[in-house]
Amino acid sequence: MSKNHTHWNGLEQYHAKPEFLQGQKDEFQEDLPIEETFSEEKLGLSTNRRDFLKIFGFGLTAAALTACVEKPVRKSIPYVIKPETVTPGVAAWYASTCGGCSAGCGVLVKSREGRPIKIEGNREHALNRGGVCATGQATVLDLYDNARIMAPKGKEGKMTWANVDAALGQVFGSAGKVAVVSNTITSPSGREIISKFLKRFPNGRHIQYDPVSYHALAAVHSEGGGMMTIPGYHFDKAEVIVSFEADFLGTFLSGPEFTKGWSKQRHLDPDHPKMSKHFQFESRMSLTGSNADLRIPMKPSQLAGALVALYNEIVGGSSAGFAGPGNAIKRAAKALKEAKGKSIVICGVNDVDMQAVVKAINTELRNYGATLDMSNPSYQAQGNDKAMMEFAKNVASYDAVIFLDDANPVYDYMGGADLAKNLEGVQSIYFGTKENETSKVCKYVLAQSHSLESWGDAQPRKNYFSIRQPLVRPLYDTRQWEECLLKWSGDGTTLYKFIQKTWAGINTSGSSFKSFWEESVRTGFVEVGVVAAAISELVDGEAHGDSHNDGDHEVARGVVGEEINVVVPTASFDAIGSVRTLSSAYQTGEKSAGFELVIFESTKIRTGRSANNPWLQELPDPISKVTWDNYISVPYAYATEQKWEDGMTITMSAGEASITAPIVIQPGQANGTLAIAVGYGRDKVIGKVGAGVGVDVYPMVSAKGDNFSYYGTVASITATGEKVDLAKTQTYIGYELEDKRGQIENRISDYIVKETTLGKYEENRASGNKRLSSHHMISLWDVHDKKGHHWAMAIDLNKCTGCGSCIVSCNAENNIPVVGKQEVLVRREMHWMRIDRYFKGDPSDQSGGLETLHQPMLCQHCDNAPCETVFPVLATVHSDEGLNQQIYNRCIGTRYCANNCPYKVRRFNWFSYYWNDDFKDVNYMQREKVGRLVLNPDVTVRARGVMEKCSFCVQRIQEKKLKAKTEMRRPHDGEIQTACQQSCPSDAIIFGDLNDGDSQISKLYRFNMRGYHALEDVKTLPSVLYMTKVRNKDEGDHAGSIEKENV
Amino acid sequence: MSTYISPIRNVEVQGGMNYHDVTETVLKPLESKPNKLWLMALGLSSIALAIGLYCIGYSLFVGIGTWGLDKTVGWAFDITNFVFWVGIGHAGTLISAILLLFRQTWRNSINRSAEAMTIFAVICAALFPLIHMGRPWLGAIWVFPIPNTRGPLWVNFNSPLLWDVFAISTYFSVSLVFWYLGLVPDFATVRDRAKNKIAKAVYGSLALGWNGSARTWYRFELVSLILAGLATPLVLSVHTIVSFDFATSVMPGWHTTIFPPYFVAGAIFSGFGMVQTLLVVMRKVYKLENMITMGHMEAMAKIVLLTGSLVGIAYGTEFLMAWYSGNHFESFAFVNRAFGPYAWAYWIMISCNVITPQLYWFKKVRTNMLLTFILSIFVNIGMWFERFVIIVTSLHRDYLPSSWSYYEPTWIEFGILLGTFGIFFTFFFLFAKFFPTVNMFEVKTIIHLPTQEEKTHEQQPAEVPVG
Repeated sequence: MSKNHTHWNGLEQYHAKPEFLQGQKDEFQEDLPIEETFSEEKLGLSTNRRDFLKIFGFGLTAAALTACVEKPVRKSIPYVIKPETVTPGVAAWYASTCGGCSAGCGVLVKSREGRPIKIEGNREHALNRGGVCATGQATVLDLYDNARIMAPKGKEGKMTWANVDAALGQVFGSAGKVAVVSNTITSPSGREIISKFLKRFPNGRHIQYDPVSYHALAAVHSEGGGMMTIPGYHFDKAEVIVSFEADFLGTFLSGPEFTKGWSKQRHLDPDHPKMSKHFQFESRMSLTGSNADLRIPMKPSQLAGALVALYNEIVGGSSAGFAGPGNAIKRAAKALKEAKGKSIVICGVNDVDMQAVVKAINTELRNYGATLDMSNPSYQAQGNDKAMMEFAKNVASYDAVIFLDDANPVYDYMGGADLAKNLEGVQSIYFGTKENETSKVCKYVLAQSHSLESWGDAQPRKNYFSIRQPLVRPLYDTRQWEECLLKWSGDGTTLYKFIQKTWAGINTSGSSFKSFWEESVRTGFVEVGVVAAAISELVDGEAHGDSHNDGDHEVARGVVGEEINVVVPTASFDAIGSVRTLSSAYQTGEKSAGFELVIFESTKIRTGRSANNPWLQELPDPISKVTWDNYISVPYAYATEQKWEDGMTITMSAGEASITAPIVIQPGQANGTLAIAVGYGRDKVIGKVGAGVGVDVYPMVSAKGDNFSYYGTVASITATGEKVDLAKTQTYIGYELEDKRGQIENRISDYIVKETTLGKYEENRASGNKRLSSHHMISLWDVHDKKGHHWAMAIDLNKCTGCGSCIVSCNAENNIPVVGKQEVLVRREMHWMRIDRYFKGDPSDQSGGLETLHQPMLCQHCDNAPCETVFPVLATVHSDEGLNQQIYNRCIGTRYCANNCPYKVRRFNWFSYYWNDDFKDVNYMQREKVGRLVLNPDVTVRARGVMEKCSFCVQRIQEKKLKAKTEMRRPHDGEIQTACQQSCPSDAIIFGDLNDGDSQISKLYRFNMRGYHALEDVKTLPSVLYMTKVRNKDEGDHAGSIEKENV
Repeated sequence: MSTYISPIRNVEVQGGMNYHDVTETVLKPLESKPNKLWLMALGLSSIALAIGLYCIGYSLFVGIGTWGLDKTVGWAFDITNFVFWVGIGHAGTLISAILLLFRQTWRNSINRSAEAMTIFAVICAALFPLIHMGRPWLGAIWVFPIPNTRGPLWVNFNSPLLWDVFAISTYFSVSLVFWYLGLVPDFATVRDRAKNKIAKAVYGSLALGWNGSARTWYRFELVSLILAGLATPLVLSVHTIVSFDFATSVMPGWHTTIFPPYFVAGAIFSGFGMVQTLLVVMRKVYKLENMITMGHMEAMAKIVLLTGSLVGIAYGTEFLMAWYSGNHFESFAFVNRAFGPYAWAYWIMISCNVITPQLYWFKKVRTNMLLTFILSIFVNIGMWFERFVIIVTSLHRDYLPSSWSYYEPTWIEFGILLGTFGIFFTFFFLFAKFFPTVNMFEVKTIIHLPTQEEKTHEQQPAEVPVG
C-alpha cells in the first residue's frame, strides 16, 4: 500500500509501516498454534506400546464380557409390505367354530396383529346367536398354553413329522384291526376322513364316546345304523319346562344355545307380561335348578318315581304310586297339559328307561315337531357307551389304536386304569394339543394344532353347518389330525380341498361354489336351504293334531299304579316297560336309606379338557363359588347333623372306588345324596395349572346296561378329621349366621336383589321394587354435566342365569390376572365382574322353598361415587360421559377408594402378577413370553400397588366412537357392547347411551318399573340399573304347602 | 428467701430439692457412662427396630400382598397403627401446650418426656400413611400440592387423606419446634457443665448461643406462649381430621358424626396411658421421684379415668344412635362389632378402655405404681384394639354380604407393628441418655425453697395431691 491514499485509518497506515502492511495481508496477525493444539501429545492421542497393550487388553476383555451377557432378542419388525388383512392397531374378526365342546357354537375370533386374542359369539349363528360359554371363550388361552405338545414324539423322544409318517406307515402297513377313538366328532369332513382312513384296514372301527354321555337320550331318538340323533330343543318356544336333572343352562349338550332360548321366554314385556314356567326336579343344586321357578330336590332314585308320577298324570290323570312331593308333580303336569306343543320335558339322566318315559311324555304333549325338532336333530352326542365298553374290554386285540383330538379315555373312561394296562401291547397313537393321562401311556404322541390354528367344519345339527378357519399359523410343529389321517389313507388332496369338497355337497344355495364357499367362510355358518323350509313348516305346524305321526315316536299310553296296571298297551316303543322298571327302581331306592352318589360335569372344567386353563380354574362355580377345586357337596341337613364344616375332608366309597375330598355344604341339595364333579385330579403331565387340583371321580362312574351311569350308591362315608381350605370367592353363604338370617335376607331383598312373582307383577309392575321417595334423594353434590354421552348399563336379573360367561369374557378383554388358589383364599381374586349368589329360605328345605339369586356385580359407575371423593391424588375421576375412570398411572394405592366402595368392586394389585415368580404358573398369560400373546393390546397390564376395576370396557366405547366419528354420526344404539354384554348367552346385559332418547337403555331407565339400583339409599346414583327378578311362582308353590297338600 | 408461699399452693417438687439438686439429678444419666440396663434396653429396642425395617423393606419389595388385607378389608394393621401412634402423641401436646396456657405448673416436670414421646410417636405414625400405599415412591411426592407440568393434575382437596397429610405435617413441625425450643435453656446448662470438648461443641451448638440474659428469657417465654397457642388447636384438630378419614366415608360403622370428639378423647386417653407407662419406669430408674411425684402420677390417673369414661360414653352413644337411626346397615355393623367374628377384639377394647380404668376411682390404685403400670399397659392395648375394631369390623362385613371376609394379619404386619415400638423406644432411650429428661429450668421455677421459718422447724411439707 502506498502513501498516495487520501484517506487513512491511522498513523500506522499513513506511515505504511512494513509490519502493519504484512499484518493487513494476513488474516491472523500471529501464527495459529494449529500444530501444537492438534498434536497427538496435546490431545492425548499418542499411544505408546504399553498403553496400546493396556487398552487392547481392556477392550478384548470388555468385548468378551459383553458377549457373555445374554441379551434377549426382541423382534419388532414393521411390515414392509402391509398384509391386506392386518392393520396394526385395528382388530380383525374372523368367523369360526368354537372348539370347546361338541356344541359347535359359532364364534367370531378377534385377531390383533395376527394373533387371536378373544372369542366372542357369532350373532348370525342359528344356535348360540352370540352367546358363548365360559369354557368356549377360554379356549383362546389354551392356544398359548406352554403345556402344549410342541412337536411329535415317540417313545425314544422327539420325532420329525417325516419320521412319524414313516414309522406309522410301517405300523399301519402290517395292522389289521385298527381303532380310532375319539369323543363326538361333529365335523362332517372329519367323520369322512376317519372312515376313509379306516377303510385301509380289514377291521377298522371308529369308536366315539363321551366322558359325560348322552347315549341313552340319543338311543331312544335314533333309528340305529346312521347318526345318533337327539332332538333339537327349542327352549324359546317352551312356555313350560320340566327338567329332571338336566342342567340345560349349564353343561347339558349346548348351554349357550339353550340359555338363549330359555331367556327369550324370561323376557318380560311390561305390556304383555308373560313368561315361561320352569320346574326343576334334581338331586344336586345345578345352575339350571338355581334359576328354576320351582325346584324340588330329590334323590336320583326318587327322580325315577317322580317321572313315573308325571307320566301317569299326563297320560291317565293320576299320580298313583308315588309318595314324593306329589303336588309339585301335579302342578307340573297341569302346567304341561295346558301348554301342549309349547312345553319341554327334559331329562339329564343317562338311563334308557327314564329317557323313554320322557319321550313318551313329550310325545303325549305333542312337543315333537313343535319344541322338539326331530327333522333337524342334533348330532352333538355321537358317543356310544356300549361300543366304548366293548372296545375297552378288547383293546388288547387291536393292532393299533389312535386316540384323536385330545381323547383321554385313560382318564375319563370309568375303566381307564385297565385300559392303560391293556394298551401296553398295542401300537397306540395319541393325537392332541396337550399331554394327558392317555398320551402318557401311548407309544406315539402327535402334536395337534389348536382349533384356532385349524381348518375344519362342524355339523352340530343336521341342517346346520359351520366352518372353522385358522386364525394363526401353527405356533409349533403341529399338524391337524384330519390332515394326517388323510395323508395316511393315501388320499393326495389337501385338507382344505377336502373340506371344500364336503361343502360342495351341501351347497343348496343355488349360487356358484366359489361364492357359496366365500360367503360361508365369511359368515362361518350355513343353514342347509331345502331342509330349512321344512323346519319352519314343522315349527309353524299347529296342524299336527291327532293324526300327527312322528315316525317311530308313537308311544304307549298307560297308567302305572302300585300294582303296575297297564291300561292301554300299544307301542312301537316300550314306554310301559320303562315305566315299570322305573317304578320298581324307585320303590327299591326309596327303601334303602343309604346315600346316593351324583357325579356331574362342572360348568367350567367340564369333562376335564379345560383343566389346565387358569381362567376356568379361577372362575368360581356358579353355585358354591369354589375355585381351584372339586369337592363333595353335602346336603345341609346332614352336614349340620354331623357338625361338618366346609372344607372338612371325607372318604366316600362307591362300588370299588373310593375317594377322599373336601366337602361343601350345599343348601337345597336333596337329602341322602352326595355330589361331586368330574374333570379334576389330573396327572402332572397336563400342565402346571391344573395338575393335582381336586380329585378324580371317573373311576366311580359305573355301567348300567349299555350306558354309563353317573349315579351310584355310597357304600361308606368316613370323616377323616382333616380340613383343607377351599378357595371361595364368596365365603358368606347365609346359614353361618343362623340367628341373623332373617336380617340378612331382608337386607338382600330390600336393598340388593329385589324380586317378585309373576302374579304380583301382573297386578303391579313395580311390585317388589320399593323405590325411595324423592326427598330421600336430595344430594349435596353438584350434578355431573354430561353433554355428550352418558353411558349406562342395565342388568335383567330375570334373565341372568349366573353362568359366569361374562367373567371369562371380562378376563380376556381386560387382561385380568389369575392369582391362584392361595390368593383367592385370602379373598384377592381380581375379577372385575363377579356374580353374587344369594340363597333365600331354609337351607335344609326339600320342598321348593329355597331360592337362589344371581346378581352380576361390577363397578356401578356412580354419579356420586364414594371412591372419587376420598382418593387423595385424583386417580379416580368422573368422566363427562358418566364413566368412573381409574387412572392407573396416577394411582398410588392407598386402597381408600376400595374401602369406601359399597359394592366392593375395586381390585388392588397386591403383587406384581406379571413379574413375581409365585404367579409364573397360574398367570402365564402375563408372565410368560408365549402366554403374553393373548393380552389385549388396548388395555394396560396393571402395575403392582395400583387399584383397578371395571371400566365399562372404555376401549370398546372409544373404538366404536372413533368409528362413528369418522363416519360423521353418533354411535348407533347397540353398536357399543361391553365384553360382558357381548358374551352373555341370556342377553341379560344392556348397555347404551342415556342421552340418546331412543336407546333401549334410556327407555329402560325412564319407563321400566322393574328398574332399581343396588343399595339405592347410599345415594351413590349408580349407572347400573338392575331389573327385578320375577319368578313364575304361585303362592301355592311356596315352601311347606306342597308337602301339606300332599298329605 | 423471704417470699411468701401460700399454704394452699401445692408443693410440686419434694424432698427439699434446691436448684443444684435438680440439675444434678436430671443430668446424672446424661453425664455418666451408660449403665447396663440402658444398654440392654437400647439393644432390645434396636432389634425390634431392625425387625420392623426388614418387614417394611420386604413389603416394599414384594408388595402389600405380604400383608393379610383383602378386597374387602383394605386397611387393617397399617391404619390401626397410624391412628394408634397419632393418638399416643396427643398427651405430649396437651401437657405442653394446653396445661401451659392454663398455668398448670405441675406439668413442668413431665412435659419434656411427654413432648419427646409426641415427636417419636408422630414419627411412627407418619410411617404408615407412607408405607401403606401401593406405590409409596410416587405417593410420597404426589400427595403434596407441588406445582407440576401435568396441567391441572393436582391433589384432591376433597379427600380426608389429604387433610391428614397437612394435619400430620403441621402437627409434627409445631411439636418439634416447641420441644426443641424448650430444650434450649437446658442444653445451655449441659453445655456449661460439659467437661469434654465434643459434648461442649455439640450441646453448645444445640443451645443456639443461649446466654441466659433477661431479654433472652423474656423472648423465650413469649415464643413459648405463642407456640403453645398454636399447638393448642392442633390437639383437637389432628385427631379430628384423622377421624374424618372414617367419618366422611359411606361405610356403616365409620360414617358417624360423633367421631371427632370421640377420637380426641380417645387420643388423650391413650396418650396419657403411654405417658404413665413411660414415667412409672423412668422416675424409678432415674430416681426422679421428687420431681415426678406421686401427685403427678395421680393426676394422670385421674385424666385417664375421665377420658376412659368419655370414650365409654362414646361407645354407648354409637350403639344408641345405630339403633335409633333405624338404619339397617348401621345397626347391623354395631351388632356385628360386638357379637360378630371380631367380638373378641371388641370385648378386649371394652375391658381395657372402659372397665379397668374405673379402678382409678380408688386412691390406693392411683398411688400403687405397679398397678398403674399394668393399667396403663391395658390402656395402650385397649386403644390399639379400639382402632382395630373401628377399621376392621366395619369393613369386613359391609353392604354386600357377598364380599364379606375375615381378615387375618400376617407375621409381616406384626413385624412392622413391633418395628414401630422399636423406633419409638430406640428414640426414647437415646433421648433419655442424651437429653435432659426433665425440664430443669421450668422445674426450678416451681421449686419450693424452705423459708427460714420452715428451716428452723424442720417442717416437711405434707403431701398434697396435685390438681
